[in-house]
Amino acid sequence: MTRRSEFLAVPGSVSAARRFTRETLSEQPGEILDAVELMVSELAANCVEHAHSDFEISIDASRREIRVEARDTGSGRPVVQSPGARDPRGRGLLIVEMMSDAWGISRLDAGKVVWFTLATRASGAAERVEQVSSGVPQHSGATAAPPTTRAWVDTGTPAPAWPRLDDHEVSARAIVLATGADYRRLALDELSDYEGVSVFYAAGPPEAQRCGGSRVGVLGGGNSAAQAAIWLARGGALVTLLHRRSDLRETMSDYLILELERYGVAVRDRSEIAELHGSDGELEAVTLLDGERIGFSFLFLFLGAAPCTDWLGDVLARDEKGFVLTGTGAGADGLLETSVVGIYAAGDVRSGSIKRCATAVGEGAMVVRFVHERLSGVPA
Amino acid sequence: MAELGPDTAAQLDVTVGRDPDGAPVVIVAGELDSSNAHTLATRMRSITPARPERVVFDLAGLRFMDSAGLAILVRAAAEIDTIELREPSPIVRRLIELTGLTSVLRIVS
Repeated sequence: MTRRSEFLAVPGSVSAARRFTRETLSEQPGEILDAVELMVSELAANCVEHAHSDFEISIDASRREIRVEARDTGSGRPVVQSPGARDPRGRGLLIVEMMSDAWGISRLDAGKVVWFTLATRASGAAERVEQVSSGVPQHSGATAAPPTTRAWVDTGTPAPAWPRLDDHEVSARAIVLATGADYRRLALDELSDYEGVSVFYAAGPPEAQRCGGSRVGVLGGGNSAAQAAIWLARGGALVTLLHRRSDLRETMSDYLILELERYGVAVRDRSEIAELHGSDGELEAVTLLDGERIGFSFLFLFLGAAPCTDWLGDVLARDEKGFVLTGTGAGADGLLETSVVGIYAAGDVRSGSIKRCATAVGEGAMVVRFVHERLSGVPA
Repeated sequence: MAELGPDTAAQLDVTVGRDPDGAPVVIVAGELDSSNAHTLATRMRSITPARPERVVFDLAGLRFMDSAGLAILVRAAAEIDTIELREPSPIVRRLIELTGLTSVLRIVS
């Protein structure tokens, strides 16, 4: 539905244009309405004060966004300025730039159209969540972040959400969540003595090289455990895969089970680790719950990951494990876009992500591009 | 449809008083925009020449303000050490935060 109204080039038209805006958008949430009213006021004032032109405001409110156009016959071209804190003027278009999701100027034969859009999708989930996000060992060797950063996302305000960090409100037109996941650890007090030295959470080339010729335990029944075990075995390690259940086929793909055999990986069913033995971080052996002791120089843990998303509450759609849904799963257009317009997720926190450092870095690079395209109004 | 009605400025009331410390308190109510910002600017000319250390703007009754109103507050902040904004509405507060002016315009709830 589009509504239009014409206004004279007189000062009183600025408040008349605002009144028209409030009437047209009377069913929108207050925060959206306030923001659109302020931006309309700026555009109308530019028409009257700078273009000295009669003008027309048109407002198109769809389910997803509000689009406003201000059409005048003036010849000048408005520019966004960057006033310092002591400069009184020059903030009109800057306000439109900062409050809208996208804006632009189209030149006409006579005059111009200045337009902006603002998403309305976020408005339904007006929520404020405050939580402590957990500090974590992310991947092997990574140090734990102090669990002190409080963050919450308020989607009750448009444009599209305002994150809070500690006690500071940060206004943003786009947010990228890259809070990662906690890799599950063994509930053993002595574990931290070994982490990063002989106990790891990922198996890459350096680890494979280091483990060549050594006895290595891989703990976990999922595909990532199998892939690590095969990789390490191919690097010359003597690998034993330990898992809790009675049959690997419950949790692992068949082709990987065949590969385990092919590369000589020993598989121990119904195995859980009760104790680690060694000194100065160098692992020598583990004791299983059934009392058996096995000599291992290295141990790799693939016990799954829990996303660091507790603090999000219900603001964003998440999968059953708590990972943030993106793309079609979230009803969003963009690959890394979440269920709230303007909020993106990248890396391990994302549902369906490939839990690898390289892909997380790649997604981080992609998401910057997506945000840039969104903010510049170019379709992604 | 056209709204080519009479040129009436937005409704604005400006009252000046003093707080217990003697600092001027400017009570601004209604809507502040480019059509009536001169009203507030004129009242400020009776306050700033005396160079008070602190001026309080009571904005509890101010429903709307755009960059024209903001310009007057910033201009006042250039001449007066401490500008306090009392009880700005959510959108006025957002305007000030978004434009990064919280360092020169102190918001007091």
